[in-house]
Amino acid sequence: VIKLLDHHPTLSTFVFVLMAFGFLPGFMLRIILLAAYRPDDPRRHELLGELYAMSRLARPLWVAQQCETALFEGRLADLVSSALRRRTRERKSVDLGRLTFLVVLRWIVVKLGAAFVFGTATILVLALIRSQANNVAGTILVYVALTAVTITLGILEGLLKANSPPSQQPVQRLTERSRSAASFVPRRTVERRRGGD
Amino acid sequence: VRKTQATVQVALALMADPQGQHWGYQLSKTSGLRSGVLYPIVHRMLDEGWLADGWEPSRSGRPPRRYYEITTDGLRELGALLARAENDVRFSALRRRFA
Repeated sequence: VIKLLDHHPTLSTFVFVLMAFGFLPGFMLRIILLAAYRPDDPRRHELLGELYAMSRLARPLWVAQQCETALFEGRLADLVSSALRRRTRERKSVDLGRLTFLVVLRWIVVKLGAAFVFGTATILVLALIRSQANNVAGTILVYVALTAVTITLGILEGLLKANSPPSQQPVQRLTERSRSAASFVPRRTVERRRGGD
Repeated sequence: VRKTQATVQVALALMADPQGQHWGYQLSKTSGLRSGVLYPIVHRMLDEGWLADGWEPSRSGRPPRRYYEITTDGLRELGALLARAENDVRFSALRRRFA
C-alpha cells in the first residue's frame, strides 16, 4: 500500500476517488439543501436520507441532478423569478428619454467594438502589405479615420432607430390587411347578387 | 393530477407494488424519471390524498428515509388513471409496461 501511495498518479487518483465518492456528494448535497429548500421543507431530510441509502457509485451523479433540480425549484427558483419580475417591472416603468439614451449608448458601444475590430484588421493588413516602419503613422491615420466614420455612422443609426417608433409599420400593415378583409365579398355572393339583378 | 406521460410513469411504478412502501430514489429508478420531475408529481398525489407518507426508523446512524404508501383512494384513482392511459394513443410508448 505504501508503495502504491508513493506512486504519484495513484495517490492523486486515490484522493480524487475519496473526494468524488466519499466526501463531496454529502457535502454538496447539504449545501444545496440549505440553499434551495426552506427549513420546514421535508425534502431537506428526505433527500439526505435517500443519499445514504444508494450505492456510492450513483451518488455523485444523483447529487449533480439535485443541483439542477434546486435551480428550478425551491428558494433559488423563487429568488430568480422574483428578480426577473422586478426587472420586467423596471423595464415597463422606464421613460422614453432614458430609453433613447440607452439605445444610443448601446449603439456607441457596439460600433466602438466593430470599429476596433475593423481598425485592427486594417492595421494588420496594411502592415503586412507594406512592412515598412515609416508607414506606421499613415496606417494609424487610416485607423483613426475609419474608427471615426464607423462611430459617426453608428451614432446616426442609433439616433434614427431610437426616434422612430418600431411598432408603426406592422400596425399599418395590419390595418391595411383588416381593411381589405372588411371590404372582401365572396365570389358566390357577387354572382348571386348579379343573378338577382 | 393531470394525465401526463410522467404521471402515468409514476403511477405504473407505484402500482407495481400497490401494498408496499416506496422510496423516492427507488421510484425514480423504476419510473425512469429525474427527481425534479418525480417529486412534484409525488407531492401532488400526496395533496390529493392518493398517497400517505412516513419516515422509516433510523438505523446505524443513517438519516431516516421518507416512504410513500398508496391509500385506498389512491388505489382507486391510480387504477382508473392507468386504465384510461392504457387505451390512450399518447401513451402507446408505455404499452409494454402496462402488460
